[in-house]
Amino acid sequence: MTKLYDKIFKYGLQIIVIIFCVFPFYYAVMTSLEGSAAVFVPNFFPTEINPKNYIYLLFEHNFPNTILNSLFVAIVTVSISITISYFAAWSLSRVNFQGRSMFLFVILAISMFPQIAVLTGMYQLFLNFKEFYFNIFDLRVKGITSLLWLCFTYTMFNIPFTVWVLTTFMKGVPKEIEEAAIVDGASSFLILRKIFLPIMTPAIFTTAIMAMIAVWNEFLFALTFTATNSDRTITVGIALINGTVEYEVPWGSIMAASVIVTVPLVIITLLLQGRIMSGLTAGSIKG
Amino acid sequence: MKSVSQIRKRTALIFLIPVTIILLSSALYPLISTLYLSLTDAELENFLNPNYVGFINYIENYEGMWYGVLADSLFWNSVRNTLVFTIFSISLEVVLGISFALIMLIENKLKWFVRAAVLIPWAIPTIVSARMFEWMLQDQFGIFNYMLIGLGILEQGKAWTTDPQTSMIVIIIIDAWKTSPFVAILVYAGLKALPNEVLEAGKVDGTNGITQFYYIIFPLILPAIAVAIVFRGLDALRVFDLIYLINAGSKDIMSMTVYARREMFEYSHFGFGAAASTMLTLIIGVIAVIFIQRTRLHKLDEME
Repeated sequence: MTKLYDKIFKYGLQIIVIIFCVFPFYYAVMTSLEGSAAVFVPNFFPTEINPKNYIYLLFEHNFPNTILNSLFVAIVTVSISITISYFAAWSLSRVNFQGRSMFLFVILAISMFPQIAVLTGMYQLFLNFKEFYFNIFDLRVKGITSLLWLCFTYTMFNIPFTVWVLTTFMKGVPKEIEEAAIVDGASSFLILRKIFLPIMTPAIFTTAIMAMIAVWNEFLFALTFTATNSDRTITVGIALINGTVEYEVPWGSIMAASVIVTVPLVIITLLLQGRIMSGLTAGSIKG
Repeated sequence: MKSVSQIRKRTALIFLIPVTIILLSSALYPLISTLYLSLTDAELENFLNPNYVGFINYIENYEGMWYGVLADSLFWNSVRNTLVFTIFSISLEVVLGISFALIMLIENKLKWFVRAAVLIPWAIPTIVSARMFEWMLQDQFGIFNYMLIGLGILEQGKAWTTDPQTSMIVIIIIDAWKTSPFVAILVYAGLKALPNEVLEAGKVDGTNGITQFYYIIFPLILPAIAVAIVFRGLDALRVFDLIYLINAGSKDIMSMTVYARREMFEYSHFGFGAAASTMLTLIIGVIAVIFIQRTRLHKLDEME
């Protein structure tokens, strides 16, 4: 009897955790699928399925554009930071040189920095960059200035994280694997390309996904450095969806937008569950 | 001829050059220029070449009145709000995180679902979580008020997010929802790293399990918890998005980052804002150093 109770008790605890974590998201999905009248009737299950909110976003709200902007920034930032960090991680994990732990410590310190500490200086630099950029390029490509700037700032905020995680992962690769190649006289570059790359691919992929999620979710810099409808990223885009009248917040569309930007993340996270968990722990515990 | 290890050392340093350049140009330079700007009268018009004015953005006595960030009660208010937010949200997250981690250890058919569910709040952007909770807590049509009215606890819907008495609580709860999973994952990894016998001995079975947990397992996962607290703490001290989104203008919940950013981009007081962000960095730095010293986290390397 006690065994049965014990079983039920455990299932109960698990169900509480699942509901706690999933319910807000479930509720957003449900709201987003309801038409304007049904949205404003509280209920736990959808009374109707109506794609109206999604259609409104796709055609009226400049929303697809914000998604493209975010994708652009995320892809550029992550490719640059991963490439740079991959080489740096090798130096920091496989080679003994003076000042190595100092370097790692500085990187960790930077990753914990409050973004606002650099914001004023960053903004001044941004205005200079804009001026410089406008002088060189033609007006037609002006719209992309803020996005390029976001790529630059995000690269900076991503690099400490990607270096840290990749270094931890690379420390885990057995020494023998590299030693044979060293004896054969292979250059470090060759070793990184032929020996480490195949082993590290899953780790690199995980790190890239996590960095991408961080970029996708960033708000403070996106809010500060984008000023027009054409260069907004998704977080700012959602923050700015508002009704024409103050009391008429379009909750249905806000929830639809939230669902659109979140579903890909949720799917990726579920597929890579185990890897992301090890990435998160690598990012903080070891090092 | 150079030895292999010398060549490797040289290559290693070359590989570190790009990281160094990026960190110098995009972290160190703006940090120093923010420091400098905090000593200037920078506003929107003279932002690119402001005048040096000394410490008046921090504190100044002008005709018997005190001015500057340090004399602004709103700034100290934001410091207090940030500390309240940090202490309460982290306490809640540690408690929830440890509970979740223990529940994640249960081996049965739901195991996969629990581990998957726990990652969902972590992956959702803060802006989205803020909006979702705002909607659930909405005064007229929100599901939360609907439930409370249904249960007879409330007579009519309450505006949880805008009411100054509850908005801080709401923010702490949203933050806990979003980040407890992170703490849970760190603690879970810590638990997984323990030898099997320890876990067997401390398995949760009734009250006895709780005492066992407290005396046997808890001390062993303390380092993992300390790491989680440091990471989350530094995150919480610079909180911006949640507070800005829920109610940026309210002085009851305004955080230090919201205060500094408001000075810069709403009032165009860039010098003053820079001074506020410098103060914020100092405060966070002092707290971080004290905490890391106290928990001996800097010795974690040796423990490995």
